[in-house]
Amino acid sequence: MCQYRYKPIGKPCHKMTFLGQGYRLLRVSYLNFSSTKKHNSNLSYFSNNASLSSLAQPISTTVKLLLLFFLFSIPLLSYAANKPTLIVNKSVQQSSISMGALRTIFGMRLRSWNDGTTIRVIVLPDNHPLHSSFSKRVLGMFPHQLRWAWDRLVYSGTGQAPIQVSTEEQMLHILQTTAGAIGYLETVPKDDNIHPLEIR
Amino acid sequence: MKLFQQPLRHLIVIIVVLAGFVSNVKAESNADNVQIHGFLTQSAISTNANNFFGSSRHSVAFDFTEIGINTSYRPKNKWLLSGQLLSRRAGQTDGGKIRIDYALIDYTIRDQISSRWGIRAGRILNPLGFYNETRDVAFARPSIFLPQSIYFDRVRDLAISSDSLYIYGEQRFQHNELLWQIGIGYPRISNEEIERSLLGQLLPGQFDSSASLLGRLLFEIDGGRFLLGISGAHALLDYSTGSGSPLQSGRVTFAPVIVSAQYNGEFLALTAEYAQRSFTYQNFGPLLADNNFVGESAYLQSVYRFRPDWDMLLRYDVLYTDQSDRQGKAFAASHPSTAAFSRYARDATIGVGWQYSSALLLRAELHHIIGTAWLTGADNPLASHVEKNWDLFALLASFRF
Repeated sequence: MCQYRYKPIGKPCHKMTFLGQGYRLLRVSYLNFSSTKKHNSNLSYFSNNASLSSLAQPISTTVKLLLLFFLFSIPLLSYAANKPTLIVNKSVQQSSISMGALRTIFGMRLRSWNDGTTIRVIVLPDNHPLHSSFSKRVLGMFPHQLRWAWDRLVYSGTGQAPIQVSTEEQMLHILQTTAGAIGYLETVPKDDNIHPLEIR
Repeated sequence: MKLFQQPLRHLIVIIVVLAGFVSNVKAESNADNVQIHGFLTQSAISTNANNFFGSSRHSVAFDFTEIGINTSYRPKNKWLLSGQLLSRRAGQTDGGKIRIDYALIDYTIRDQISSRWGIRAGRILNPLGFYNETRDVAFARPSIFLPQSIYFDRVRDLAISSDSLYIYGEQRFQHNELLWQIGIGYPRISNEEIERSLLGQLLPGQFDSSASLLGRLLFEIDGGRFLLGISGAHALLDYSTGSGSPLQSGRVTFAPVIVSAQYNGEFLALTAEYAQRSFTYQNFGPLLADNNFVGESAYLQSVYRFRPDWDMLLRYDVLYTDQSDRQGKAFAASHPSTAAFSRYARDATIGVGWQYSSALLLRAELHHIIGTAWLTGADNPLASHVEKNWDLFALLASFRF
């Protein structure tokens, strides 16, 4: 009696792993792809594996689909058209900031502005084109890096996550009304309650 | 099937109510000095030999559930209070009991652009390697199971947090940053699996921890493009013998050192960690002579984000219980009831993850494993039924807020 659960079809008893079986099916489907001649030359292999060979047809379709999927998943990036502008609430006295300080602020590791006001970081969702564009083109980081940094703080209790809003309108509203707020906008309206921050 | 036990049900209800509450509060105010976050993760596991987190062998086990809820409160810029409740079901090794994973108070003494330092006290997650502090949070780990060679799930409680006091700091340079923390504390020992892993079996008597040292040094280059770290602990675990135990009261000194490196690209992230774990046994009496051995662990992992919300994982992970006897042959020769393959484990993993939204994550992964060094004893009580070669397939769904 066979004591293993995963045995290849058509063989009496032989230990087979998930991976081994996967490889075998892939191999079979590859062979099916190849020329008839090549197929024929492997006929003896299939003849004692009749059921496996019939399995190969749908599998090869699956493999084709998988290949197509990977081919078309060459990362598609939706950028915001303009480079986002770094914006702060009017309560923030400074007009420029260093790249290092900016990364520390968006990494949620700096609490207060030079005058002691609480820093409030406002962000859009990870998959928002403007957030993605801001992370990459302004901070020189990737959204997934920022998320991991925030997760490490939040889930270890050693820090807090930024305030997340879902639209640019909400972002603008919070920047206008919250002391110490820092965020980003694609188009900056004329407004005395906010001002851009230059990166040194 | 008793999928969820009573205390777990309560926690689920609390989480659902709070999730609704939090989403309402968030919509109405900008109050960010109180935050509440939570997660609920359920996995399905199937193996072709050996049980992992439940009766997974030739079946599907739903016995791996992780539920957590945490809150943080920043009354003033320099103060932070936080805590997390966690319930975890993991086969026979964990029954879902709700516990305080961390509860701490943090005071930043200096908070400036060039540097920051402060102190932290309470129950604090051990800063070991890249993933220890977020090991229970599916969204913050690259796979369903972390590389078991370093992040053993069988001794999770011992590894996860300590009642401790830390001093920490961050030194910032133009593009780079040095983060350090060092603490003294008492690691948590509450789980039978820890005793099983230290003594090889359950015996009368119990383990307690003495004051232990923990620390980590992490260098972030170019805003985290490259990370280099070294972390370690020097933990003292004292066994007090009980009536009927063949052992005398003794001490295990556990001293792991982990070296970590990571490259973070836009599409590709490469991670490697190497650990040496030194165990020293003293004063256990004639049946367990004083001895020292060093275990070795390493993994290499690649995560390819082929779309912003999809990732593919490839990993190779090895564990040797004793680096001077990697194949376990010498150990098996002196312990006839123990198989040599229980002294090592080599795990090749391929996985795929899809983050449907910021709140929902799905993962699938396949492990091909040779050796059983990190297999849990409680799920596999009969050593004769344990097999050397085994495959594990797992699915995971995780929700968070």
